[in-house]
Amino acid sequence: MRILIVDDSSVMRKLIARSIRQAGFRDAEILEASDGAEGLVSAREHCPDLVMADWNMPNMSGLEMLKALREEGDRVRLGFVTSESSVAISYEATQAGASFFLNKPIDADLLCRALEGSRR
Amino acid sequence: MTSLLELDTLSIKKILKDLLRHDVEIAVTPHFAPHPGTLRGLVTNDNRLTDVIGGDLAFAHHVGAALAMIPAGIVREAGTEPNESWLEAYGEVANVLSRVVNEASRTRRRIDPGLEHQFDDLSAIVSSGSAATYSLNLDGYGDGLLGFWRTD
Repeated sequence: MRILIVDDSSVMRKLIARSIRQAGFRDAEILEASDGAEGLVSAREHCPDLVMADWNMPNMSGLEMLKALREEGDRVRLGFVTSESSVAISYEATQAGASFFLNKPIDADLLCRALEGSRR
Repeated sequence: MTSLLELDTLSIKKILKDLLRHDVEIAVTPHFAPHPGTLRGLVTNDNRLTDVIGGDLAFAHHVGAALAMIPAGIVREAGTEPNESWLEAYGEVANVLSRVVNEASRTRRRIDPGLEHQFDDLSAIVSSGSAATYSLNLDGYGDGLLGFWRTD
């Protein structure tokens, strides 16, 4: 499985990658991008099975990236991993087509479910 | 929850333990002066500063290094000079701690992304606002101080 992690914090990208491996997805190919704009380019180029994006990022937010992908007709599974926790934002993400909305710190069970749903 | 001051010790402990994957001991402690490099402001969507998170340099180094998966031994040997990469990682810890105020509040707040509120604004809240301050021990890394301040 190819997973694209989009987060402006390199430490968080590393942490999410570790969580993915610890969830049993040791063979997952992990790609990284540091903001939505970079993530958009990477998603177009590498066609990941799953995109895990932060909400707040410089240049292009996770939500803007999701909307841009959908406008291009890209139906890649995309979920948010974020410190944002309000119901309104979670609803906005779902309305835009997000597959899941996980809070940091990541709950291992919820992460497993999100990853299982993205297997080929 | 309308302020970080309403966070209880169990919640802080759980967030830090889940995030850093190290045991945390926490206790309420007398007020202290945070290290200037640790101050992070919480702002509303219209950029109004409401809360400040800070700590001593030890706390910021410990949690930042733990988040970055830097072994405790390296942190202990590093001395007391501010470490930029650990402080940057500490900012992520502060960001995660700050999310709890949005869970039960209609007013969305987040860590000031552009650092538009400079040190003077943050320290004004620290010196005159209400505070909740804690001493923490992060297993393997050691002791440190964490504080939350809010405008009155």
